[in-house]
Amino acid sequence: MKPARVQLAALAVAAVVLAGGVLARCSRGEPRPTGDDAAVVDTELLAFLSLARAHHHEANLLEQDGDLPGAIAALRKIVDAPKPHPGERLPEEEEVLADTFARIADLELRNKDTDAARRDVESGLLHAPDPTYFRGHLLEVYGIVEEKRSDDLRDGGRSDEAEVARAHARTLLHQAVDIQERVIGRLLDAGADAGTR
Amino acid sequence: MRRALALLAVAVAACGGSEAAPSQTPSTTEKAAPEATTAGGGATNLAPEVAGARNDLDRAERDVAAAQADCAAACRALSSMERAAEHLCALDGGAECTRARERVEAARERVRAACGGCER
Repeated sequence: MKPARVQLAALAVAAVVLAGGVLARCSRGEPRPTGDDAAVVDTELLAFLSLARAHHHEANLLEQDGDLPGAIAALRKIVDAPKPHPGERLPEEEEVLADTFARIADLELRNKDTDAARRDVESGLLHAPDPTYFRGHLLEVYGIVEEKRSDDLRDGGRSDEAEVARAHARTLLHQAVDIQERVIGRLLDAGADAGTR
Repeated sequence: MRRALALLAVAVAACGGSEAAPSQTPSTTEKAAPEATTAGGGATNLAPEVAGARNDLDRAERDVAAAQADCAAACRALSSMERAAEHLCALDGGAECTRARERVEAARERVRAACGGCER
């Protein structure tokens, strides 16, 4: 991907994450905080989202320079950062974390650290329990990680374990296809319903 | 970048829009228009049909923006689905692969019909 496209893609992801979060909260009809509480909630959450965006930009630049460990370290600052409301699951924050873990795992895979990629994609799945785009993307990355792990195991002469990893990869990739198919269906069905109203 | 920012704006607007919806029904807008004229001292005095048309336009604008956001999200999901199917086929080129490719093609056609395709 060209550098400018990488930046645009990252911006798009950030906007989608933010927009998705806003819409998610909106669609659930959750009350908005008022008065002093509103200022505190908005400031903390927005600060976290801003930090995440800044580190994704930083990772873009490092990735463009071929510094994969540097890009991973930049993204790890997001997942290690203090969270806006410890103990609460804010949709905006959860989506940022799921998306960031998926990107970290992808970079680790490219950096030939399959075990780290596996750990991070599993961490990401904890932030995306529902059948959303984010879970589908994490399962896609996980499937690719398992595919690579299967190759590594086979190359190391561990063919039985390689076969298990390969079967796991197929299951994960199937799940990714299923989820993204449902996501597309939901999005376009909702649009069609709106158009007929 | 414009799209990304627009998407965020759409989300915020959509949220605000749903809350504001009750006050934007034609009947309430019709009542509100003369008050605005009085307060504004010569501001536009909208006839009921003009106010109604403006509401329709606002609603259509929101629908278009929401559809654009849905299409961007559908394209992202389609890309992920394509990658997953590609790797599935690398692992198993048989019936599983054929079925996955058929599902991807059906999804691609659906997105193309609703959104006119995705940018690559």
